[in-house]
Amino acid sequence: MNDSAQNTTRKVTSSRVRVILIGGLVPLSIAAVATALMVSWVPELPEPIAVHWNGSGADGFGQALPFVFGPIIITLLFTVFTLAISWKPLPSGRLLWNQKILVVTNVWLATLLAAGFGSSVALQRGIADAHNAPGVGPSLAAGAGLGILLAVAAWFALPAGESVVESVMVVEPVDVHGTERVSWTHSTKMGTAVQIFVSVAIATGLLLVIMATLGSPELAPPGFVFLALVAVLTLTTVWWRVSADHRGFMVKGLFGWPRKHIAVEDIRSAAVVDVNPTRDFGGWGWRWAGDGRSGIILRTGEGIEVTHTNGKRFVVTVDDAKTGAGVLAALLARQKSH
Amino acid sequence: MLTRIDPASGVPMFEQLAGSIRASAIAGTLTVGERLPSARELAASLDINVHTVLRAYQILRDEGLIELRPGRGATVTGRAAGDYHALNSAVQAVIHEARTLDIAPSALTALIREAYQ
Repeated sequence: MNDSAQNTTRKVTSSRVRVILIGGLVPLSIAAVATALMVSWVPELPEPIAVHWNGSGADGFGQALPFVFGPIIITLLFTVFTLAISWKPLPSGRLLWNQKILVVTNVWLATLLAAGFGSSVALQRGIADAHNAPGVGPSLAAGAGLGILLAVAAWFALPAGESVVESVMVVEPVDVHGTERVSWTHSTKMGTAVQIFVSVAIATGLLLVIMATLGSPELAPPGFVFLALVAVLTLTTVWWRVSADHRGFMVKGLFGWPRKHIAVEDIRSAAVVDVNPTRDFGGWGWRWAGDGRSGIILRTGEGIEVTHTNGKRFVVTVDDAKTGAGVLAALLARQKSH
Repeated sequence: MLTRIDPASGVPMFEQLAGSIRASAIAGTLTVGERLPSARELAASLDINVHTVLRAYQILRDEGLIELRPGRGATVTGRAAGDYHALNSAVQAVIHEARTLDIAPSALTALIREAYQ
């Protein structure tokens, strides 16, 4: 191993250690302490305890034992997700903006949950009837505030953030002469793996709704309406038509909605980019990265990146991106010559 | 799919459009099963009449290059994916030769049209 490679490994390792400490150990410790305290308070609690409040007081009741494990379970799940996404810093040792955001969100969420659950249990110690449990609004707000402070501290303790090192390829404009009109269009759809994942999720939802309705048939209509709504919303993000023509750049979902349109006069430049969904955008679908970059990200691979005149960038993963971006480049060149 | 039409060329628009889509199919940039944009969409995109697009689609359907089905729109058939490999390389060779000789695209198309008729 040569010096620079060794150096890179060292930087990556040091960043990873900080991510594990701040994004894993800190939130889990907060949740663990809160859980330990709550468990120690269980003998002093009413039976059942208040678990939900509305404006006028406690309105939801349940058993203390599963309730007190809420923060640790949610924090654990979110930590696994955070570490999975933030496991690979850039070779420079820096983190992507979305990785940093995820890590500090985990710190904030753990604090909020610990304060919310913890204070609601703490306030019920020694009360005989949970109906008299005091409200948790103030302590929840305090928890959220404390969480923000910790998240800010975590933000500065993390390695510097960096935008993705993008592989942007400048394109040659397609040949367009005189009075000629050009139009480029291509459909694009979600990668097969993501499609399978989504289908399994919907099938699971269907199964759950059916099981729920076996017990209580009155749940059937809202259950199926909700599921149909989710299925339709999912369908709108699976298939898109991308076009480039005299009107500019346009992306439309299966039902013509949702859509994104950038007029030619609002485009600064168009390029071909190589997209890695989790690294660049933290996932699939209509995504926002932390650096003025958003996009419709359906698979790994080539895509068109359109830079708005205000500097914001919009990315769509689509085949034959070279031709699509080339048409936009030609339209821009023609606009300039007028 | 890249389509081009030139209102000033003298060739009817529907013929230009059909020719442009046909060329995409032969060049292999349109894959089997690919859905073409709806006639309304393509018309708006090229700023032409929707009937012009429909007429071009009908020509391509009669040639067996696309299928028109109500509700599903136009899809590219297997016919479009025929074995045009030799033809495509020949076209590349001709273009390469024309470039070395500095022959304009319009002159090259004129040459081919003359020779073909």
